[in-house]
This record gives sequence, structure tokens and C-alpha cells, in this order.
Amino acid sequence: MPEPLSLDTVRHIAHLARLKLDDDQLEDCRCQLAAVLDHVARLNDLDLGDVEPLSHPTQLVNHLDEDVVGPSLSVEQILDMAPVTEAPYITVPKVIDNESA
Amino acid sequence: MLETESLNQIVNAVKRGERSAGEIVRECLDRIDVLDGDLSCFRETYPDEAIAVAEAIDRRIASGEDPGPLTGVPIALKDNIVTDCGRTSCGSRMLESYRSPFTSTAVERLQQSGAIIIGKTNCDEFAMGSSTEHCAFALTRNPWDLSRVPGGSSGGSAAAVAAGLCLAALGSDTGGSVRQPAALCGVVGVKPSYGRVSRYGLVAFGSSLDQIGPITRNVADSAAILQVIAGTDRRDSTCADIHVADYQERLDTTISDLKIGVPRQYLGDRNDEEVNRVIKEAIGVFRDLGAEIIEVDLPLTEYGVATYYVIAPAEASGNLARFDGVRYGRRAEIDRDDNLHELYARNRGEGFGPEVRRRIMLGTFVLSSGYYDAYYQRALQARRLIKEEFDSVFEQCHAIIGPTAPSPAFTIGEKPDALSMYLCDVYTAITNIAGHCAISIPAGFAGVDGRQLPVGLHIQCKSFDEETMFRVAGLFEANTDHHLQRPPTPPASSSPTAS
Repeated sequence: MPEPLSLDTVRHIAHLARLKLDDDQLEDCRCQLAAVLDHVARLNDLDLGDVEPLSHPTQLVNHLDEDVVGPSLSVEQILDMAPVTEAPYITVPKVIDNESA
Repeated sequence: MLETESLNQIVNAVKRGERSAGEIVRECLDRIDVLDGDLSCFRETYPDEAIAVAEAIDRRIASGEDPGPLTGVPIALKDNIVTDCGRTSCGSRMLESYRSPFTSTAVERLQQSGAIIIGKTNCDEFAMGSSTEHCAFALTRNPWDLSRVPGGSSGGSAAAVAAGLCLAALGSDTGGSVRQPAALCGVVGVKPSYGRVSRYGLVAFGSSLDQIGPITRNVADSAAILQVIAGTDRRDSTCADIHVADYQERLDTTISDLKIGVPRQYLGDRNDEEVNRVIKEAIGVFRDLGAEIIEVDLPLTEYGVATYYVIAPAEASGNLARFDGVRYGRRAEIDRDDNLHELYARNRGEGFGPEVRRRIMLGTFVLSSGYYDAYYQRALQARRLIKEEFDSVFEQCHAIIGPTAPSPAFTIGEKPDALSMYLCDVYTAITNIAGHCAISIPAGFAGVDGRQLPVGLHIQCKSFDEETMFRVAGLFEANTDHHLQRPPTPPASSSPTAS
């Protein structure tokens, strides 16, 4: 298995997961995750060779529906759910002209 | 007497006009008023709506109609199953005031069968936990002992059924979240086969693992509810188009040459001694009834938690990416110059509780570049081996039995670290990995610190063979009285009480 979990790795993962965590929370995550990953390391004891991965317990094949228009939500219902709106739009912060966006 | 009646007694009494649905719902709401202050099972109740539905049912009966197989049955829903009535919060600040514009398929089917939805029950945030301690709004307590957890994540549902605050409840089970709280609260909980019940309207946690299942006080009641909610649904394409047997019709009929498998890995020293004693007595009940008890081998049991806690967090990290604070749910306060990334990160950092953050982090980690092959890929390979191992054991026996959980209800705050909580799922999470069905039923009581605490008997059967699962569970129940024991009322707080 890869090297033990570093605080830098945890910080990078928090960025990927879009979670803003303070240093204490990052350290708590590092400790708890390290303990879980230590337990998970027992999977190395299994001879997995060329076992085909199983992503789903059933053998279902794709289910295709006719392409017909069905009922959907109204603009009002959607705006009602959104936390910040300027009808008929949902307001978000700027998404361009910014390096990390 | 809501706390002692069976589902069929209520349905028949209402259909014959001996009792009204309105009276039953009022009794139910009164019990919640009196008892839920101590227990905190309910996130919210729907008194006006429930009474209106009940009175409509009473009018239909008066005019000669049959409202359906669940006529007049008051049912509670775990707070992660959406309805267009009330809020669905998933035990999370992220969805604290979220109102769904639609109703889940399982709930629609309950309503169409004459059931009455009385409220939503507390759960671990986004169904992640084994104690219901990770709920943002309340600390649900075990009705057998208020200093102990009800199990989780469907802890509010299980505690509400145990305390007779409703006749039945729905929970969701991703790694044991119906069965383990059912075991710890002394009630019946079902994890249907993956694909048996539509997941439409169940807030997703692990999409290849999640199933909605009933929690009730006896096996026949669970069979009646699964009967209604099972079956194909065009709104969930993973819901299988496989025949749903009549679970109740043959519940009392014997299975000839019944073979019960007991895995040699299930009664070791990881369990409390009292749990092993109760489960051995339960095995004796089957033996005395003429079943052949065979020892079977499930060596991959030791790898179930490791496999699950890679796959489930990986799926969760993807599913919970949708909580971005844009279209619904909470939105963090941000500065005028902050960008969209800052909104996402602050909203999610503040809106999710510690356990959900940990699982998202774990899932993101095992899927991230450089770690995918070492963790996620290996877990999926182990998943295939686990499924094949169960498939081969199900060729030798009708059902696999053992304990649902390694210990009875633990005390609040007893398991502060993530891994010790995860290890509670050793017997249940592996079922979701493989996808077959399982039920937890009252097996007996463990003596702990002078108190009697319920122990669950876990009965696993092959995929889509819920009929056999109910028949094996029903056989045990018909020959024992553990399911008839009720927690003390008012709930036990300090001095030990005999059951």
C-alpha cells in the first residue's frame, strides 16, 4: 500500500472534495482516516490476481425507456428550492476570471 | 393498544369498522407527545395531514370501499426518504429546511395501500453511522435503556417502533442501517435484496448498496409492508423486474428439509459472550424444530468491513457532490469577492457534520489519482470474491444465521473513533456488498450491567428469496416469545428494570 497519510495529502483531498476544513479538522481527518486505511490494508492479504472487479451486485443490463416528454418541475418550484435567486435565475458567485474556480 | 397490536389486527379492525383510522392516528400522536420527549425518535410529525388522511380512509370504508392491505396503519419514515409533505433533512444542517417537490416510490405505494404517514424519524447524518449519534438535530435514545444508543443509522425508526410510537417504519440499509438498530431495539428489520425496492426518492448514499426496508414488531408485519413496496419501478432502473412472491401466504408453512448454515466465523471472540450465548440458544431452537444445522465457512467475513469502507465512502463522495449550496439546501455566507469554489468549499465544510466529512474525504482519497488501484480497485475485486463465497454457501443451505451485531446497544459516547464504530457493521455490511437479502429478528436478551438488552438474530438468504427469509424468520418467531417483550414505559432511565 502507499505511504502513510500525510497532512499535505489530506489537505489536497479536502481541496478535491470541496471541503473547507481548518487545521484541527484536517488533523482529525488524518488520524481517523489513517486508522481506517490501516484496517483496509488487510485487503493486501487476499490473492486478487486477475479477479475481475465487481461494481454492482446485480446482473442488470441497461434499461431503455421510450424518449417521451413527461411531467417535470415548474420554474417556480425550482426557484422556491434555491437559496439565493433573482427570478427567473439562481444566483451564484462569479465563475470566470479566477484561477481556482 | 397500539404498542401491542399487530398490523393485521389493526387493518382488520379498521376495515370491519370496529376502530377508526382517525382514532388510531390520534392514539399514535398522543403516545409520541407523551414518550418522545425522552426518546427523540421523531424529527417532525404531520398531525393535520395524518388525521385528514385517516378521516378520508374512514369515509371510504363507510362507503364500502377497500383502501388497501395497509388500511389505517400508522407508519413513520426515516428522514432520508422524501415526501412532498414536510421536510426531508437527512439529519443534516445541509438540508435543515429542505422540502422535496416529490414523494418517493416506496411511500407512494404505502399511501396507495391505505397506510398513514405520521412523521419523519431521526437518523445519522445522510445515513452514515451505527448509533444515530451523528444526527445534527437530536440524540435519539434506546427505549430499553436511555443511556444507550438505539443503533443506526435508522435509529429513530427502530426506537419509535420498539416504543410503540407507530406500528411500523421505513428505514434505509446501506451497510446494516435497518438491521442493526432493529437488533439493538428488539424489533424486526429487513434489508431487501438489492433491486427489490425502488430507490427513487431515497437520498442516495451508496448507490450500489442502498435499499429501503421495513422495521416492525413482528415478521408478518414486515412481510406485509415489503409486499407493498417491492417491485419494479420505471423511475429506478436498478429496481429489478423480478416476480414478487406472496410473502404472507406461505409464511406459516414449513420448509421441508430445512438446512440452516452457521458460519464458523460468526460466533468467535469478537462478539460479547452474552451475544454468543443468545445466538447459540437461537440455533438450538432451530435444531429442536428439526432443522439440520450445518457449519459453513465464510472466511472473507474478516474482509467485509475493509471492503465496505472503501466502496461505500467512494460512492458517497460522488453522491454527496450534489450538495453545493446552489440549487437547494443551505448556502454559506460568503464575501462579495469570493468565487464559486469558495462557496462550494465553505458551504460543504460548514454544512456537513464530522462523520460525513470523514466519509467524503475517505471516498475522495480512495478514488484519487495514485490511490485508485491500491484501494478502490482492490475493494471491487474483493467484492466479487465475497459475492462468490456467499453464492457457494447458499448452495448448501436455505439460510445463514448468526448475530446481527457483535454487541447489544452500547452507551452514548462509547465509540468516539470512526473505526470502532465501523467494526459494529462486521456482519451486516458484507450483505450489502454481496447484494442478497437479510432480516434481523429478536433472538433473546443479553444481561448487561443488571439490565436486559435485546439481541438480534441475523438471517441471510440468497438474492430475491425474501420468501424463504420470511419463512425461516417466521418459524423462529412462532416458537419463541422474544418479539412480544416490550421496553418499559416510561422508558428506563436509571434503575435496572426486568423486561
